[in-house]
Amino acid sequence: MADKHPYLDKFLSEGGPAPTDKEYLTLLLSYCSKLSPEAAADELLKVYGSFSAIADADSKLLANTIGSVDAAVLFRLISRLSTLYVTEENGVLRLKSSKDAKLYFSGIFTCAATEKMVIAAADRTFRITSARTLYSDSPLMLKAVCRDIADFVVTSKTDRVFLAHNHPIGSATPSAEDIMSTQKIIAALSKLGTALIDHIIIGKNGAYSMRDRKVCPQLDEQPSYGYK
Amino acid sequence: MADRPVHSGHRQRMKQRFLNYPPEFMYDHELFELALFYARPVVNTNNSAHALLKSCGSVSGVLSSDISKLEKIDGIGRNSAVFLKILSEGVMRFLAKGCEDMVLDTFDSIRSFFTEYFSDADSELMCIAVVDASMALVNTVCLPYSDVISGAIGHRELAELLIMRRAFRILIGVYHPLGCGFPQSDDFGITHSVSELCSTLGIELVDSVVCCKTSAYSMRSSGAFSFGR
Repeated sequence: MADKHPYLDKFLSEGGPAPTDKEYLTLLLSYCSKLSPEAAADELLKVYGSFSAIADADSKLLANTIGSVDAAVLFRLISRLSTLYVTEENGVLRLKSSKDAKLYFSGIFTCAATEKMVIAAADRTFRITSARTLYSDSPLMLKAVCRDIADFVVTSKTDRVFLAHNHPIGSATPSAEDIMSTQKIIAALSKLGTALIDHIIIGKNGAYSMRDRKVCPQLDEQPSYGYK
Repeated sequence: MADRPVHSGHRQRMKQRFLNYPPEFMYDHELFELALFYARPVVNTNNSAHALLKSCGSVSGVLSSDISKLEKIDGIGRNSAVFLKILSEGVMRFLAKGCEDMVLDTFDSIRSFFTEYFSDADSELMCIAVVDASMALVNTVCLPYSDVISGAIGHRELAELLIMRRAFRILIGVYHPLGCGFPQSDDFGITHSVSELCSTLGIELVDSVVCCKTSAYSMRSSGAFSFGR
């Protein structure tokens, strides 16, 4: 443990950036069990040359380099937390309610003159991880859209998605065709073990949540995972 | 014989899960639960992780908080607060590389990216950069060049890490700190080997860039290698 580590004083008294990469690595690795921090820091810097490269190394290969799963987990944590830090600092929304979703998709369709459909993948905390436009200008055949949706779901490895489309010159209220398409898309998604959380429609004068209004029974039967 | 505790092996299982699956499969509180294992070797850290996020509001909130705030959070204490600050310093050092939000859609941007990526390194390295359909950088992985050349990191390992990173389109960068910025026979060998592997896996290899301290050489822009597409 780093309780009495010589570099801890420098870290605490002079600030985080004060220790060199070697000193910082030694301090960090002192929290890993069954490891000589100095020797492991030397070995990692010899192989990778810099702290950034170490934190960007493949975890399994890094674990083999110094024989420590603890260290590999620690560097992967730094890499993952960095991604989340940047994402959050850039103001990414979590769509935890129909209100959030309507706000998010209203932004996407601002100034859109033609009809578009967008699918967005969310992680388990409803953070949007990726989104794709399924069609623009002219709607494709639904079968082709389902194929694109399946492609998106598989490549983004998600188990929950949002759909949204716009009515550039009409109200946000869904047409019978919108509801029927939603039912068919839900059926296609269920084969992939993926839930449709909500289908948002952005009209000329407002936004509409199909989950909120309970206009599609199949959508109501989908798991909500706490979405309100 | 004494009963094994119900949660025996929980920490090892969590660590293995974190290493074996894409990192986004873990909740934010699980990341801090995992982090606190290092500062609190025995106790259950799940509740403390929840308390951290509740008190600081988000991952970035935890990483930006100072020690005096963190140590007052229920179940954290001085040791954990200091460790979290050390961890957040690692995040800041990693981010200082400044490669987020890059779009590598021109030869100049590709060369600049790899030059910046390798700027603080003193060892021979190979970087695989995964990009999406619009050439926006998705993620990177850094490998010791000597291990790739020697075969210690073979096709199997490369395939595994490409698939784990969901790569459909990649660029590779090779760095020789003492090199002259022109590819050597080993660089062509690596490019050929990765190209063959990518072809098998249905991954597009966009470019292979050889860098030294002062310059970067794109094999695609110079026509030094046939990339197929």
